Amino acid sequence: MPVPPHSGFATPGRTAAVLAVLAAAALLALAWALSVGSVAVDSAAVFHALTGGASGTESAIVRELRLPRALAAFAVGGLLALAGALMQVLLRNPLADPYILGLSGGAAVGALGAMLAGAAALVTPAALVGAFASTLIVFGLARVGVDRAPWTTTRLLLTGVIVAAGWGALIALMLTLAPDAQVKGMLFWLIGDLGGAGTAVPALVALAFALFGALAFARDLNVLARGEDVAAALGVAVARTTLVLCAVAAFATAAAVTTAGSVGFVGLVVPHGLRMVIGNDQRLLLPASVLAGGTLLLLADTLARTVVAPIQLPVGVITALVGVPLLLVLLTRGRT
Amino acid sequence: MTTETPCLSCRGLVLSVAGRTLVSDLDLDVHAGECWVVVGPNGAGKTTLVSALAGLRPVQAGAIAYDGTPLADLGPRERARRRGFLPQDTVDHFPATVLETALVGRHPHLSRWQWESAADVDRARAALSTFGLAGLDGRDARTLSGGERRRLALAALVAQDAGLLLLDEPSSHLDLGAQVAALDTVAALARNHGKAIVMVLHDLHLALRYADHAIAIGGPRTRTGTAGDILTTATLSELFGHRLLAVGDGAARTFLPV
Repeated sequence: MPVPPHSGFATPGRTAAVLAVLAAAALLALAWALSVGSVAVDSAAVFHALTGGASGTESAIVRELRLPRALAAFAVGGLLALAGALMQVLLRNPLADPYILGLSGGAAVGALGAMLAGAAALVTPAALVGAFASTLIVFGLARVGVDRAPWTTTRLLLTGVIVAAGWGALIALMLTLAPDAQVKGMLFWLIGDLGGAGTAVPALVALAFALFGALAFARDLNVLARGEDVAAALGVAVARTTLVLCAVAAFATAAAVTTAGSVGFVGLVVPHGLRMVIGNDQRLLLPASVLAGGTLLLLADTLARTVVAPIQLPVGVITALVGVPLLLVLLTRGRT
Repeated sequence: MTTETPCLSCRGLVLSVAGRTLVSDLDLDVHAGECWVVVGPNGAGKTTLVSALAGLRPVQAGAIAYDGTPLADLGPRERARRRGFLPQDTVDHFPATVLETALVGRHPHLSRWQWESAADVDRARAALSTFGLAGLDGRDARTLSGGERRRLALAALVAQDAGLLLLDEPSSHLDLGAQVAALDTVAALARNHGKAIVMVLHDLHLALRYADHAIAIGGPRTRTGTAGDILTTATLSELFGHRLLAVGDGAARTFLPV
């Protein structure tokens, strides 16, 4: 993929053009996701099913099974890519991902605990509680100090890594104690799976809020990407902005994790790969990450449920298998 | 003595780091068109002083004002429209083109949802060409040399268009010719464009060459005054704890350790 020449900063025109291309790709991916599966539905029938002009099994499959799952996949992919893009800038580390502050670990402990207790209905609320508990612990501990030191991203990052390690130990403990019959379900949740996603509405609403919140600070993020002292000198309220945007990223990640488990790689690879191709202007990168992340996870989920049908793979396996070579190609071709 | 409101003033400023007092009871008035230099030995607190004057670190006591308005009454954005600050070192964490980097200086002038206008781009391009970086718009800033990156940071600062410029070692990473070229440009900002400049300079030759006023920091007390009063053999020998000798004259004047 050749790197298109540009002078770096996003103009409204260039932003609209790139987003239009990505939106078209998302729609194509959606059309494909709705038409393939154990019952093949041609595009005309998909259109009729969506516009409400058809009834019958095919329409029911498209409208009630495939559409919610496809939209959930898109929303989760978009949420994770958005959260990853935010964390990469906030921590000024291109290797940051949405889970770097230990949020997925907290969610996993909640979800696995509910599974272990045999309360299938409580998996999602328990994951949500776990995610927010983890966020509160990390943010709370990062501020506590003998000298009430100012809040720094290094400290936040270290606290997140340590808390994540604690969650990891609890997860390993639960997997060891779990009856064999439950281990597979637990592993699916840990790798990320959209089989259990009932409705896409909460995830889509969360995505809309998170994207709006992030875009409101997009130019501040451009300045923050240049370093904290530069940003402070240019009038960015660094501590407050970082705190608000970490909260937005945590909210987005929690919404994604409670919908589909901890799907890996999307949040790392999508913003990182896009940055190499379209540059690092957050006004373009953030919405582009949402569209590309959503599209990637939608394609991955469609593959996950069709490639070795009738066996369904956890979508996280596909995102890693597709994402690794994609990132390696970008690393060798693009601006790193 | 000018009677106009100083761009930067402070009264009774006290700065200490880790219990060590670096600056005590400093009074300072910097007017438009003046070029001040901060000199002193390593660890004297030069960086601490300029970042405190920039409002970027807490002070232990005293008050700072820009254009007569106390810093406490100015929000971060309003401060950024009045003063620019060049840190000692900048690190590029992400890819960014040269033009993009210079445009960052326009940030405090734009409202939340506003995009850079053609006028902002023109201003950034003009700043780039002032520092000899014209034609490099699309280059990844990380592929530039250390000296080019320093000039790029200065260009971004000029694009910011603040009346007060606080510079921490603006000539670092620059070779001799580029030091003079860059500081000529900086001095011209004071002389021709009425900017007020306070800069930390390590090189006493450059301090003598460009400053009209000086702050000597690191001695028993912080001394301020005209360059002629402060940048003397006696004062600087005491400041650096080593006997210095003035050599050369005019633009070639400097101090050498005996």
